[in-house]
Amino acid sequence: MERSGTGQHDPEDEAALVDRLKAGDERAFELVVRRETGRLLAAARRLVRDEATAHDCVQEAFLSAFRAIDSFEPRSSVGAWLNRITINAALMRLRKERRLAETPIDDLLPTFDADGWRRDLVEVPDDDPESELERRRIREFVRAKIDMLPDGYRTALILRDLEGWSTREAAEALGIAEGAMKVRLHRARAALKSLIEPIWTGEVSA
Amino acid sequence: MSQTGAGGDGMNERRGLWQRIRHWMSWGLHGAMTCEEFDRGLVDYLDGNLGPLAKRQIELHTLLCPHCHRYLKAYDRARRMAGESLREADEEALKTVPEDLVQAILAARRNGHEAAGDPG
Repeated sequence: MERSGTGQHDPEDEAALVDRLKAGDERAFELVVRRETGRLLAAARRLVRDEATAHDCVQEAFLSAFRAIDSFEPRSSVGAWLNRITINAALMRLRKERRLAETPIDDLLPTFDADGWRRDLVEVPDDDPESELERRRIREFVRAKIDMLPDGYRTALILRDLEGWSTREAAEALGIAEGAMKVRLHRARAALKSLIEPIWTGEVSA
Repeated sequence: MSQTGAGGDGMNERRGLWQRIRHWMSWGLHGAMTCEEFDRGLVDYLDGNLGPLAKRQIELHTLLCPHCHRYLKAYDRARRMAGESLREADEEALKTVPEDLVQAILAARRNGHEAAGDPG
């Protein structure tokens, strides 16, 4: 999966930019701030869901990243590196506020009978709607449903299905075991499926 | 929310077949797994992290069980839509970068340098 926060730039220009940053070039710093702030702010907003806190996370990420610029290794782009630091800053906030705990969402999870056979039969259309307007409405609806997920699940979904982090990376960032991360991700996806299913069954229109 | 009563005659026939398959599976059809076991393996299956036997078990179950066949399709679509929907929101966000935040970051950087006595 393509990772989020990886705006594509010419590798040679990127290497020259890193050299300038390492040399303490303020214009290079400003260039990176102007180039990356929008993307980083979007990443922070998604996680903390509070504008002022998202701003703090981005500012914190820029400052701590450039304090550590000498340790930057050009395996990733500056944008991807900053994206990771911003996400970690946002997760730190959520952890401090104890918002990452797993809360019950049993009503949204699949159910099985005593022998382990599935009880529900899901309705899902074969194709996406043809009209772009309709698809856009559905995406809005999906975003609203993602926002309804408790932070611990929403975060798991974002790290894996949007940011493209591996299970191990996401587990480390959330401070949980890999097995627990898989369970959390599975529940998040299953819950989201239940929340957006009314669109597929026609119970609601987007 | 999930439906149990949907589907016409075709679905009822398939459900009847599924009842019989479940019966065989309960009696040890080789490589069979329950829906609950199938559910537990989904993350690893979609990540391509299962060994050949476990992968075959999931695929056999998907083939035999109409419930899990549809469930996998819906789950996979929900996963894909989550990524697409959030990426679209990013595109919107990129159009309007708050200048006050940019200025605050640049000022914090300058202040940091001054506090550290760094001329750069």
